[in-house]
Amino acid sequence: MTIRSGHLGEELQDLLDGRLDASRRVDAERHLEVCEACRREWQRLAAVRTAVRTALAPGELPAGLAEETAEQLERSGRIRGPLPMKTAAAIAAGLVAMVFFLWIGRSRDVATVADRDYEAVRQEKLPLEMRTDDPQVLERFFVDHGIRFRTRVFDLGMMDYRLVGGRVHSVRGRPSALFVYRGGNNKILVCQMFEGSTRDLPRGVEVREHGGIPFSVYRRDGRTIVFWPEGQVLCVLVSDADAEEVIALAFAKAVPT
Amino acid sequence: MDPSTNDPKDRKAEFEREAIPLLKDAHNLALRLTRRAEDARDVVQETYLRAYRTFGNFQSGTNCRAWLFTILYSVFVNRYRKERREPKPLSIEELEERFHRTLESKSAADTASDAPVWTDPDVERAVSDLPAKLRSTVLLVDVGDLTYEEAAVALGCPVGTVRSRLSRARKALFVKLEGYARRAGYPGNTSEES
Repeated sequence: MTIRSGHLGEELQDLLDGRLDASRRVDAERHLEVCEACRREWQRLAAVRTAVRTALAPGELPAGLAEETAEQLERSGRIRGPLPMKTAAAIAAGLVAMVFFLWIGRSRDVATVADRDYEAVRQEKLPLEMRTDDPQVLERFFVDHGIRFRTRVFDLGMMDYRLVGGRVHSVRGRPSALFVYRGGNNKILVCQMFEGSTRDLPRGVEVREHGGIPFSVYRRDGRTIVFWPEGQVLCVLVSDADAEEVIALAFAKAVPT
Repeated sequence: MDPSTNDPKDRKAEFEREAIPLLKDAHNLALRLTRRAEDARDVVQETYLRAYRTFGNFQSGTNCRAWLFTILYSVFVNRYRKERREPKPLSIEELEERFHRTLESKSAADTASDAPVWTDPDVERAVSDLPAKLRSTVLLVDVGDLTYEEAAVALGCPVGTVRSRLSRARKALFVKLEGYARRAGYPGNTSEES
């Protein structure tokens, strides 16, 4: 064993964390028996380690967290059954929550979901995972975080909308690239791209055609929701800015496939 | 389970078996990292959602805890770290000097008693006050129970960096905790702490 300046030095930590092989451990322990300085340092580091593990040990889970997590996974569209819970009460509560939210989720069409997500972003209840004004950085973020289709995050600076950032989200269980712009009028524009087609859209829609692309327009409580297809991907813009401005922005962003 | 299986039902069952039992520990780590209950909830839910979506990347038979906590730490960093002001870290030299100065004095930690040396709130406060990199390292290793190698993957740094950060974190904690103990009237310690 190499002992710097006659003491164990950093090997004390390796001893503490069980990272020394058997022979080095025996040497280190023998050294501790005869060296008061190392023994004192070892005792103090051990006391810190024990104190951290004790003081920061897990407490009880907050009420509802297991159920909320299960419900969120359910909504992701990948799990069809309830998750196992530790207690009968948790199982019952989880099932009730899952059935309720499953019913809610299925009763909502994609326009309603996009509108709800817009409101969640506006109220800062849906945080952005990547804040950047660089479209390429955000596109790379989506690739790195599992979005399999090609996203196109446009620079809308010419139309006075600045990119704020985005997050990986989901729409009816399908992974979605969600990104947000803020305009000079302080209005926000929420765009999502996810795998889907116009067949997923609800009825009662106004359809406009521009550049050979059909744009489906919905209006909800002063907000304008515009969908259009790009190959296997469905794009949507939502904003409470002027309706014609939102539609014009969708025209500007869309590309024929 | 056959690691090569891609049957969604098998994967779902494996996720339930491997990841769900870690929910309490994941929440605890999230709580210690974010230091806010609401943020911890958000981090945990986002972590589990991402983990489930990417569970195909998890290799059966490997350490699910390390895999899950790596995702959790990534979610935490992306969401919160940039929002926080960090305390100015002590220089290594200053930290070593303070720690070794405490070695010259008596400490409650020198006793062989099983009684807690410092109070839990003091330990929580001391950990919370660590600079982010040291705090994250000590939380992943001592609270998350990851190996140095696993923590290195989560933190995106070399194993040697984990080792040195952990060493500095523990010494910094000791200096801080001895300061609390001295102010609380523990008679044996005459060291300085600021």
